Amino acid sequence: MHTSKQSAARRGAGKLAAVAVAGSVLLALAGGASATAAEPEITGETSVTLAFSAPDTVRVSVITTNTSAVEAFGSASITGPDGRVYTFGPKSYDAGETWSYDKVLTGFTCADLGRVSGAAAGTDLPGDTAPDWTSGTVRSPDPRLTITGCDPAPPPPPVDPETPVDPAPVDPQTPAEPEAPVEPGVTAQPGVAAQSGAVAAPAVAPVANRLPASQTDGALVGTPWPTLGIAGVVGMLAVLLSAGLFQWARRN
Amino acid sequence: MAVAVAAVALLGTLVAGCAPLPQRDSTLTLTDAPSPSESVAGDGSVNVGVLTDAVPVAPPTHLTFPAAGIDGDVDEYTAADAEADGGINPPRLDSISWYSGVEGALPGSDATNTVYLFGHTWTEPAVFNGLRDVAAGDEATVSTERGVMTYRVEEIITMSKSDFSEDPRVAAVVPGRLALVSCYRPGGLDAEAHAPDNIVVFLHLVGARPLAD
Repeated sequence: MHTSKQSAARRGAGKLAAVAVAGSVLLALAGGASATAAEPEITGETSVTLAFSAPDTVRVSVITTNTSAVEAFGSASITGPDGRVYTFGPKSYDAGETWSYDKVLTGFTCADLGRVSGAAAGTDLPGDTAPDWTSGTVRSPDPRLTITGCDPAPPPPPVDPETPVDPAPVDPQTPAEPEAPVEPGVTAQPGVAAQSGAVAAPAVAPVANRLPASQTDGALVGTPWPTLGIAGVVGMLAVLLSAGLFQWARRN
Repeated sequence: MAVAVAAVALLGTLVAGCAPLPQRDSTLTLTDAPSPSESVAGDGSVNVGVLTDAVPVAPPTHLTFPAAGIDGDVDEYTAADAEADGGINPPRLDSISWYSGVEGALPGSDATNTVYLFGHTWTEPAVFNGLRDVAAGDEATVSTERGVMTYRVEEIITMSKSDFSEDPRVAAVVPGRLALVSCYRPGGLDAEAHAPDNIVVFLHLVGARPLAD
């Protein structure tokens, strides 16, 4: 469904948001006005959501919005925990226009979160190889990444004061991937995400909603009367007819 | 006497005359097939290609689901209502009840949770009688005062009523998901027996259109 571009443009500044589940997201946004300083800047926003809605099933949704004031082109790719890459685009975006992409992957669980990553890049034309804008890699933890349906990560173990501290502490934040330009449609190397090591789990939404029982049986709303009414009428008719027949038989 | 016998036979026909509908097994149907508006990349991925205009979340006001014969207004059903009723029991056979007792269960382009709509099924015309006839790929729209959201059926499941509230598929926090819930009689509509199961049709947001100013 592609709604009017005018309505999107009215929103003013656009966004290029990428939402991805189970995999790395590679998003390229290209705008046609980067060659000179006088041309509008091409910008976008990227976010990634991993939605585990069923056992071993994760939905990757990529939502992209062009935040620049001119037409742009975008493409995206998603790399699953198994290294498989799914590519999208390039696609033309009007100023302020938003496109979203969905991909459902099966066979993955919350344990695969650490192997999910994403990136965004842009070029000024669909076929250009040098992007004007990139999102960088989107990988947990990242404020642009939302994960639902997974338990929060357990708190880190207390630090034993007797334990020597590693003189070279590792930044808990996943080091940013080099902002290497990503050509639209070019896929990331399978397994790159898996090599990043353990990462902290992001903030997650509540694991489950609390729902009351569903009392949606129509019998509960007290409306069996039409059926019983018809049955009653028929039954009454049967009784009357029987009585009439009985009286007729007695007279004859 | 023959008349009486005929009348009794007619009565029996009326009571048992609801032809059972085809039974539908509990299934998990995840759609990953392209619709006419989608394109498939060479690697098999699906480009949904949906333009999602920004529609702020708001309470649902109307549900249209042609495949299920549903076209009706939506009313709020609060957690207090559910507590008073011992569960979610829409007040009339034609009521479509939006359960507001779940945080963030509001439709919109930036929805953060599943939206739950409940309706009755019964041997008489009831608003969700047609849910058992829908299939993956069917589309429904939910209107709010801010816009119209389009959802596509991706999964249809049934479960014992006793398992409904605890079913992880039902309770999952899924942004952009719509769940239509009703009762389900595996053997078809039977006025003599209450429904032992629930049916839940899951749809996922595929489009949003703001209302014109």
